[in-house]
Amino acid sequence: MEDKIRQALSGDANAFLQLIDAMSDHMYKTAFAILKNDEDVADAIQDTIISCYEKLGTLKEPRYFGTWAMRILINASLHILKRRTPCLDASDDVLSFIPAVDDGFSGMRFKELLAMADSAYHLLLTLYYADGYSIKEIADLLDMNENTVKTRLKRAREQIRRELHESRKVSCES
Amino acid sequence: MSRVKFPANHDRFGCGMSAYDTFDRQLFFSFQEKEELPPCVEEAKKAAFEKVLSLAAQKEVIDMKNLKTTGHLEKASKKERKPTGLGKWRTALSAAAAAALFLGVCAANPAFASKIPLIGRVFEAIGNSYTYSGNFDDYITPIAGETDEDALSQTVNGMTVSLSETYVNNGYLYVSFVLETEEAFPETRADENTRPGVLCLGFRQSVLSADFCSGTIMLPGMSGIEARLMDDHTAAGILRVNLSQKDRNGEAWSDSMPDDFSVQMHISSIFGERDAGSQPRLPEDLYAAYQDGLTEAGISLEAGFGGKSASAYESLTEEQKEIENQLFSRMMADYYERYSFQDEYWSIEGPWDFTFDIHKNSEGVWSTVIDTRDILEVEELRVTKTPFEISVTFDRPYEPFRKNGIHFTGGDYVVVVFDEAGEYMGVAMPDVPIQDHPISTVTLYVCDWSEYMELKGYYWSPDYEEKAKEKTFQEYLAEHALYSTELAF
Repeated sequence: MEDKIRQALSGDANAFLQLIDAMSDHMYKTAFAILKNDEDVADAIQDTIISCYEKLGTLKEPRYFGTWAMRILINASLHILKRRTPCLDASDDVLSFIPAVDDGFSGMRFKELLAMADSAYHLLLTLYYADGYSIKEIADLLDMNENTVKTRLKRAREQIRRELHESRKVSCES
Repeated sequence: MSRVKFPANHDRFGCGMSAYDTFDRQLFFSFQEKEELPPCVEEAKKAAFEKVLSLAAQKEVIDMKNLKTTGHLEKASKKERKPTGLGKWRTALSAAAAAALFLGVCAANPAFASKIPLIGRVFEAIGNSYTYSGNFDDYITPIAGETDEDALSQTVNGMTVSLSETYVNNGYLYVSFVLETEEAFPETRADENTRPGVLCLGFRQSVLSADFCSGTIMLPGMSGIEARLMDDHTAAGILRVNLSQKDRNGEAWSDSMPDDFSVQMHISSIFGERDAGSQPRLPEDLYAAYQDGLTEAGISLEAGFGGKSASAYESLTEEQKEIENQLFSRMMADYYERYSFQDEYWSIEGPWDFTFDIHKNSEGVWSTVIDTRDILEVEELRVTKTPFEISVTFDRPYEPFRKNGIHFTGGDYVVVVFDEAGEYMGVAMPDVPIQDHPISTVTLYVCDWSEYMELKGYYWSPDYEEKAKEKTFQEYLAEHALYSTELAF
C-alpha cells in the first residue's frame, strides 16, 4: 500500500485513483454519516477526490494518506452540511448538527445501525467501526479530546445496544 | 482500505470494555459490510476520476514543455511533493507570493485592468493562458438572452454573476463569465500544480437544461471551470461543458442538438477553496515547542521558512524521523485544536438563473468513426476535431473490472495524440487541446491502459532528450501501441 502511495506522490495518477477506489466504501460511509443524503455525498466525494489529487504535495507522510484524505472528505462534508444549516457557526459543535438518518435509507445495515444512535454520534461510529480508526486518530481527525471521543463512543454503543434490545423485545412480543 | 482490522485484546474504549465484547464485534462487522455505492455517487466518482486523469495529462504537457525549454524536468517541484515537514507553510508562502505577483501583473497590464469592461472580452482577457486557447474571436458570440440585458447579470448575496460570450460546437459548450463581489473577492487558492493561476472555484448543485430535451446536465464542480483573478473584486472564467456526456435521462445532447436552441443555466451556489495563506499562521509558541523537541532529541534540521529542508529530513535515521513525526503531529494537532475546523472552503449561495440562446457553430468541425472491432475490444473510435480540441471517444467498459489482481474503475485503453511534427499533444481524456500544435495530420496511438502507465515513463524521464536522439516517444509508442492511425484534416 505504501508503495502505491509513493507512486501516487510521484505523480502516478493511476496509482492515486487505485488508492481512492479502494477507499470508496469508507468514503461513502463517512460522508453519509455526516450528510444523510446521497446527492450531497456525491458532491462531497467528487470534490474530495479532485482536491486530494491537487493537494497531494501537502501530504507529509505517505502512511497518513488515508487519514489525510479522510480529513479532506470530512471538511468537504461539513462544509456542505453548514450550507444546509445556516444557523451553524464555527463555535458550534458541528457533530451535534448532523441530521438523523432518513427512514427512506433504512434498507442498509450500517444505516440501520446508525439510525439507532443519536445523530451526533454517527460520524464517530463510522470512523471507529467502518473505517477502523483508533480513538487517538479520530481525536486528531475531528480536533477533539480523546476522552470526549471515548465517552461519546461509549454512549453511542449503549444507545445501539438499548435500541437493539428494544426492537428484539418488540419482535418477540409480536 | 486494508488498514481496517479488529484490534483484539486491548481495551478499545479505555473504560473497562473488553475487545472480546461480542456486541462490539457485531458492531464492527456490521459496519464493515460493503455497501454498493448509489448510482449518483458512482457517477460523481467516475467524473472525478476522469478529471484527475485529465489534470495528470495536462501536467505531463506542462512538464514536457519545461523539459523542452529548460532541458531538464523541474525536479525540485517534484521533491516538494515528498514529505517535507512544514512544507505546507512554505507552500502557503509561495502561493501567496504567486497571487501577489499575479495581482501585480494585473495592475501593470492594462489588458487586465478592471476599468476596462470585461463583458464581451473574457476570452481575450484570459488569452493564451486558457487550456483550450486559440483564436476564439472567429467563433465566440456575445451571449444574447430572451429578455433584457439585466437578465444576463444578476447579483445575489453580494456576488454578481455576468455571462459574457458563448461558443458551441458539436461536442462542447463554452460560456465565459465574470464574477464580481462588493467586498474583496474571497481568498481562493490558485492551482499552481497543474493549472498555474487557475482559481480553485466551482459551481455546486448547478445544472444546464435546454429546450430541445428534458434531461439536465450537471455543471462541473471545480473541474470544468478555469477562472482567474482580474482584480481584488473580480474573477473571470470560462465554463466548458462536454455535451457528449449523458444527461440525467441517459442521453447525450450532442446526439440531437439542433442548430439553434435556448439554454437555462441554474447556478445554486459558488464555492472556492481558501488559499492556504488565509489560514491562521502557525503560532510561534507551537513552532518553538516543536524546535525545542527536536533539539532535545538531538535532531538538527536546516530551518528555512518554518522548517526543514527535504535533504536534511531524508538524512535522518528512521528513529529520528519517527520522533520528528511525533513532534510535528503534536504541533499540528495543537494548531487544529486552537483553530477548530477551519473551513477550507468558502461559498456564496445563489441561485443565479439565466436563459440564453445558442447557435451551434460547426465551422472547422471534422468527425470520423474508426471501426476497431477486429483490433480492439471496443467497436469503434469516434474522433472529432474542432478548432480547439480533438476528442476521441469509445464505449468504455465503465463497470469496475479487475486486471492482474488490481481493481480498476475506468477505461482500459488510452488514446495518445501526436501532432504532424511528432510532438506529443496528450492523452485524449476524452480530448486534447490543440493550442498552437500543427495539425494538418495527427497520429493516434491506442495503448493498453496499464501498459501505458509504464510507457509514459520513457517521455517523463530526465534523459528523454538524449533518448529521443535514438528513438522519439512517438517511435517508442509505435512499437508498443495496440493500434495506431494517422488522420488528415
